Amino acid sequence: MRKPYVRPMPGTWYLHTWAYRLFMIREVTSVFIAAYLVFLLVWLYRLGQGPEQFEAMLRATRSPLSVVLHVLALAAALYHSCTWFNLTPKVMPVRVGEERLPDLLVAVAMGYFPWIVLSGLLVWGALR
Amino acid sequence: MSRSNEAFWWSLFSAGGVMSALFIPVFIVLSSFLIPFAGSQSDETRYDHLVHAVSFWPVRLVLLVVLALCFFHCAHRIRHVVTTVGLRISDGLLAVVCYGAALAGAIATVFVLARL
Repeated sequence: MRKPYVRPMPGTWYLHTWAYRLFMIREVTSVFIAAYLVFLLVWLYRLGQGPEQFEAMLRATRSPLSVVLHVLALAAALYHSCTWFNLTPKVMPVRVGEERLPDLLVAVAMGYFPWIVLSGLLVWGALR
Repeated sequence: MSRSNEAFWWSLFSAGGVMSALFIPVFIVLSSFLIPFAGSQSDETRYDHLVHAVSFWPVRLVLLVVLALCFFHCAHRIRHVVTTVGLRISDGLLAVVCYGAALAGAIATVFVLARL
């Protein structure tokens, strides 16, 4: 038997078009979020250790490197949130009778609106 | 048909995706920008207020559920990223490393929250 043809698949296929790049950016947000989760655990651990230890943690958080990393993590987290809310109505369409509700309406009602209310409440609760 | 655990991991992925979409941006804003840079409160007031907030058990329960599910969400996505970029690594080993790390994160969360 002749050797079967194997279509070449370059290791960088996900850099070739914008659709692939955006898909890969969305997937890689999870790396930033995972790193932030570890940071948040350390932050909470230092909070439990006492006021001086927590102040040292906040001083480290104010360092320029930390600020840059957290701006990147925030951008990644926001990208995840938006893509997640936009995809929800495509994965779980909402029907009223025979009509399928518009995706944008479902994304706002089940995603963006609760997200903004919840974020506002948490900021208010933590800083009041 | 052989039995598969994939449905279980995908359900944790979705639950964690919702939690991470809703909570992670505001957590980053609070923990890394608003709380460290809040100029109006004194250090002691801020500390006492935060310790008081996390001493309330529903707050800790929410933190546990959000963090644990987010760990599994990230583990699942990272597992698929590694496969997608074409790294040749055993599927079984990759799954054990990713979900094992997520489980370790969830257990660490329990210990950190129990000490608060």
